[in-house]
Amino acid sequence: MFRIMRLEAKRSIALPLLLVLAALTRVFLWMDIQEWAASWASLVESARATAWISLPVVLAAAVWHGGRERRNKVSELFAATPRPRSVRLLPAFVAIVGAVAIAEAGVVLWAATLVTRHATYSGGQWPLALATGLLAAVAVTLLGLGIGRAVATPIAAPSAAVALFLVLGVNAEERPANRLVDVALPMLPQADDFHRVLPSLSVAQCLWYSALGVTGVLLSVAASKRARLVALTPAVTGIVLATLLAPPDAVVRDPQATALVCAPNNNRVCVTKVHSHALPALVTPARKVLAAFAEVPGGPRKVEEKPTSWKLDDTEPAAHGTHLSAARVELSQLTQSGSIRWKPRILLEAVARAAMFDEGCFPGDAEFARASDASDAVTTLLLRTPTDHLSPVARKAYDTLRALPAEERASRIGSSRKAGLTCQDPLTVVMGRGADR
Amino acid sequence: MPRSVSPSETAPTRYAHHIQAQALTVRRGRRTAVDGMDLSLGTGVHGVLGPNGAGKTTLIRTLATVLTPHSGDLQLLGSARRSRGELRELRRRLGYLPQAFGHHPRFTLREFVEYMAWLKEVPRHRMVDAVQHAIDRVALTDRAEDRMGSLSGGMLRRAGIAQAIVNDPDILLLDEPTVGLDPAQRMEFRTLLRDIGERSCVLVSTHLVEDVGGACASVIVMDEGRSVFAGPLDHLRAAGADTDQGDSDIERGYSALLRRHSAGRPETGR
Repeated sequence: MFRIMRLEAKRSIALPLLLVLAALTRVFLWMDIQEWAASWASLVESARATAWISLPVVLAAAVWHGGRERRNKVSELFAATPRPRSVRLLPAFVAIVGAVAIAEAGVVLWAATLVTRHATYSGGQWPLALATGLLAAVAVTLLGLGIGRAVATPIAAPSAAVALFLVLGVNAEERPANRLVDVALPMLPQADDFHRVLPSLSVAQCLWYSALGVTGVLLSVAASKRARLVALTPAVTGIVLATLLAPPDAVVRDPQATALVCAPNNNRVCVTKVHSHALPALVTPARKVLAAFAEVPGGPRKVEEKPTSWKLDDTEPAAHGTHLSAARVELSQLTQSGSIRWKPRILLEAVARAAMFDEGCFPGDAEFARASDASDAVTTLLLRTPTDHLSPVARKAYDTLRALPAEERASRIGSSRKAGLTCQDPLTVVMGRGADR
Repeated sequence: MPRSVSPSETAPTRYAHHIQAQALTVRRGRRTAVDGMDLSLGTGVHGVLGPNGAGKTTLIRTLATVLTPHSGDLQLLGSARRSRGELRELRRRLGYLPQAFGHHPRFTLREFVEYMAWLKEVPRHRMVDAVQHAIDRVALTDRAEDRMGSLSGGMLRRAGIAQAIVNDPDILLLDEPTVGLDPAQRMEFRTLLRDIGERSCVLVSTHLVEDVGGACASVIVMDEGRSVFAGPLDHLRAAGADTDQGDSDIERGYSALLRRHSAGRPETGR
């Protein structure tokens, strides 16, 4: 058996499939490396997201191999031999499924070694989620082999690949949010470093993909139309059971990932645990901003990472104004090692801006521009940075503030900040109209 | 090369004929392709002659256990009622070359014959020798490492014969085995058949009369699913007259039998 398995590994589609799949998965994972290099949750999401390209390739190859006997007109020759069909198919199946598993697992292992170096929080669920992705690839392989044996036409492989590509090509942000879709699609629902996909979804998916694999095996050994129909039973049962078992809301906030980790000494600069590597870069600009706002009444007493994401937290009830004592900055641009990708000047501006207003309060362009002008005027004044980048409106606000006595100026900045963080117009306050409203 | 002897070859046989059929009927769809045939074939080379559509291929496929008879009695190597295990045991002792011989083009000749040996459950310790012996016997030793897809039509046919004999079968069924072979190869092939026929039952379906004359001890002539003649080659030769069509005694005998059958006068050689 081992000898024949080696022969099939050498002569079947297994070896080319391994190389193509490994290259494809690696290229597409590499293109996303900024997203996942320092985060297990992001690695899982990115690795599972490559299914849109890898699984159609796997399916096409498997369907093509499944039709090999009929295509090569050896069915009758083999039918007259004593070796049972299931045993006859085994070496090639093991070779091809092995090739898929090695290619997928190899690339994920490579990615995991990168993540291990920089990730500061794992959550402990990534092995199950990655294993589920691997199981999906194996199930699609077995299904393809079964389809290939049942429908041995030259167009079966490309047709199956295109059909699966169209199904998996659904945009992550546009896919319908329901349990059936969450279970059926190998790509995980959209999550980020602050959210995790419940392991119960992976368990339900494991059930579904196992059932799909069984259907593939049964299709491969089915010798009649009736047997082929019966072979569909595990897949149908599997998807129904898995959908019932799947959680209604598979993506939940991860309190351990969003727990704050603070710089030593005074706990005034903090980031989330999952982004711990961003802390060293944040300390200097954060302290500079805190020092600049030290004389401002009601000014920020700490700088911390804002543990919310625009992708998933938009629908949450507004919590604006509940963190007046902190400048809450979103650290969305991280390097592969988990540090902050922004240049120091940009980071300083981002922290200063976070101290002045909440971007979530100003969805309209005009409102945002006003808040931004007020913020620029204040931060330029407090941080003593050059004024040449100020817009005419910001410049006017800057001049207005500068002309005020020190105490009045600090008070107006404090009021403007409060307005910016409670979704009111900070520019009006800076210009002296409607202060303390 | 010395040939290893399988246990089945040394075991005492419990049957008079390798192939024995009575009133064998095989249907293909609505058509009766083999209609009530009687056969008793033992060791030796037997030819099956007949025009296109006579039922030769259906008969061979039925004997190869690919098709199931509709009615009648068929005993292969003494076994008639076949459980799954008995069928498996029987197939270990069959060699079969279908009319349309398919192959995996990416496999080398050695790999393909080895694969077939595995499918025929040739014991692992005998496999390497059995493969080499089969390839040597069809004179393809120097092409053993060539891909199947690169072999010529004649070589492919010989490769088909190699896979059919790799398990030293007790019954060897060859459907149009000489198609694509050049005259020299056909002569070598006949020698090979005679050699195998010394200890096995070889049934060769062909429409080439000279193949029958060169290798077969007995002949079955089929027409419209029925056996028109079954008997020694000499009886076939004697069945024709100078007025019958054909360049040889066998061709004239064959033409005469078919003509008489068409006229509604079937004959038996025994």
